[in-house]
Amino acid sequence: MVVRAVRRIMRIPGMRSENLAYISGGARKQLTPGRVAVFLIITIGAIAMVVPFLWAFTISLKSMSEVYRSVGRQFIPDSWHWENYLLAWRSAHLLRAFMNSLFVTTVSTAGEVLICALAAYALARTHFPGSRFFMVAFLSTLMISFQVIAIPTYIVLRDLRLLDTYGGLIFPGLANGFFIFLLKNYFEEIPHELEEAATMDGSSFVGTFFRIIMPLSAPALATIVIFSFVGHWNAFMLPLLVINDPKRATLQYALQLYMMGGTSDTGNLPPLNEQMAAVIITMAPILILFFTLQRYFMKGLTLGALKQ
Amino acid sequence: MVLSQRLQTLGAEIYKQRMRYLFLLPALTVFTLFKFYPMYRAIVFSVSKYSFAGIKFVGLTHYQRLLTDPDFGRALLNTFELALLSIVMGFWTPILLALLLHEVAFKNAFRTVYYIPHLFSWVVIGGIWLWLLSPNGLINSALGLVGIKGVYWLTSAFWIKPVLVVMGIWHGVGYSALLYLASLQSIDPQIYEAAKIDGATKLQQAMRITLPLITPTVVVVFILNMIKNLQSFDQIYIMSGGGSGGLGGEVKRASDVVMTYAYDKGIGLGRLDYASAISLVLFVIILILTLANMKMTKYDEGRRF
Repeated sequence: MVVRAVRRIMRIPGMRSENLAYISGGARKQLTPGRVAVFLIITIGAIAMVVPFLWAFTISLKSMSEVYRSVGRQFIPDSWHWENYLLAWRSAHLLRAFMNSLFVTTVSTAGEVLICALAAYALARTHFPGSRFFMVAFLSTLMISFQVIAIPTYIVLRDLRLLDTYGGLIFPGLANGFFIFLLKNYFEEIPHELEEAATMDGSSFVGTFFRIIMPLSAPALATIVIFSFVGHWNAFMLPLLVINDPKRATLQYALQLYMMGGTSDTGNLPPLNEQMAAVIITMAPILILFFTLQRYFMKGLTLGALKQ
Repeated sequence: MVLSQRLQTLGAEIYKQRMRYLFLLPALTVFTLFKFYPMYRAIVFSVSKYSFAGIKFVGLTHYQRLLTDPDFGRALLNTFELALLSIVMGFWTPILLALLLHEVAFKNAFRTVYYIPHLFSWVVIGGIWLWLLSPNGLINSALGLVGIKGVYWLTSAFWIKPVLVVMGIWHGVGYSALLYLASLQSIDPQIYEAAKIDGATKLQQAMRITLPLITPTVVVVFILNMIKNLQSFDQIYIMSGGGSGGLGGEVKRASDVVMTYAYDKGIGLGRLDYASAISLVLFVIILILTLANMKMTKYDEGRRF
């Protein structure tokens, strides 16, 4: 019956969704018990998503005696101990780790996006000797995830004398087959006439890329910059393998060391309120990025997996 | 003659396109050094004996040992158990969530909230959950309020797997739901209008229209999540005390997966040859399961979505 209905719709020429939008979208939604129930379920789930973070935040502001006293009972701290952040910042050497992360993430992101854009532009539109081979080679890297080759990557980095260096953290993440694929598709949607006009005016291949293609692709590039940045910032396994000297630890690795008691002189676990302060500090840059650039995040996500 | 002519035109073509090759060079170098070459090294290492004396070819010895290594067998079993449990508990949750999100008021605000956990690394998530699940943590306190006795979640060989799976779902449900939601939004609303005219109920609409139309997305998300689960490392490593033996042996045995086992052998014990063989076995398992999945579900048809 439903299938028949679909077929009937399909047969009517010119019946596109926009013609019917006023029927489905225009009608005001009524407050039925079903809708209220859905809203309640979704709200409960949403609370479960954020409560752990909020609770971690309030613990980071409590004194330890209050943490013990108020577990699960009191949410708002009696007195606000912002100094926990300072203590965590100092004892976990977070400044150093923060700067390391910022440096490694920035260089990796800038490098990765540029390298992927160059490769994508080279492969866009034209067939040339080897172009198919390169495309297949790049796409095949999607099958080789970092985890699976983590141990061999460690071997390669050791051979290249890149263990315990920033280079060891940066180089393996400088290209991504998926980003190349996405950018290639995006570049191909830019009207070809623009490039031809630029070439007529004497613009070179490189000039066209930097002056025409890159500026026009700003939205796609922004999305990729964000995902590259988040990916590099959150990387844990690579620093775990590469870094031995705590001086070069990235934030994620330093946080893990600190929470396991690896940075204290006594080897004791740090107090919970300071641990949570360190966690919040590590979350902060991503959280700020997310809420300022939410539009690109949401667009990029769906762009992300579905076209893979 | 003909051959040399063709070579000449090929050379001319390559020369004409020389900038393109130059543009490809950086990406090709990175991939060669950090994707293809490690893969090659893994294969070579997995058939060699590696020691201070040098490298010696030993054939398939490491693979033979893997077959009889009870620790590897257990890690493999744990990996499959966790993946299966993730499917049972986590396959339908994002689909249901997306269907509900599609209907609910303030849809955009809610989908943002559900996505938040996925933004953060497992170090951050693990740090928070280690406390949530600690004997005096939030979860046991909340259970205490309704009169249920707390559980030692992280030191119980029984509870550790469900806990890891629930954490994984909590972390990723918003992301998967977003993918489904995008797919739901691409369904033409007039199909529902037509169904309504024909007297189809909401349930019928969901079963007969929505689910068939989002099937390609379901397949993609299923494959992505399966791969993610089979090769999980960060979460397990962090929740089991960062390799410092923070957990009792019993729990470590219950939560050890292929990747953590490879890490312990390769980096912890320096058996890089054996760990390379483990990595390759995992790679082949993932490859086979992915290809089987694609074949069974005619994945190619879904590409258009």
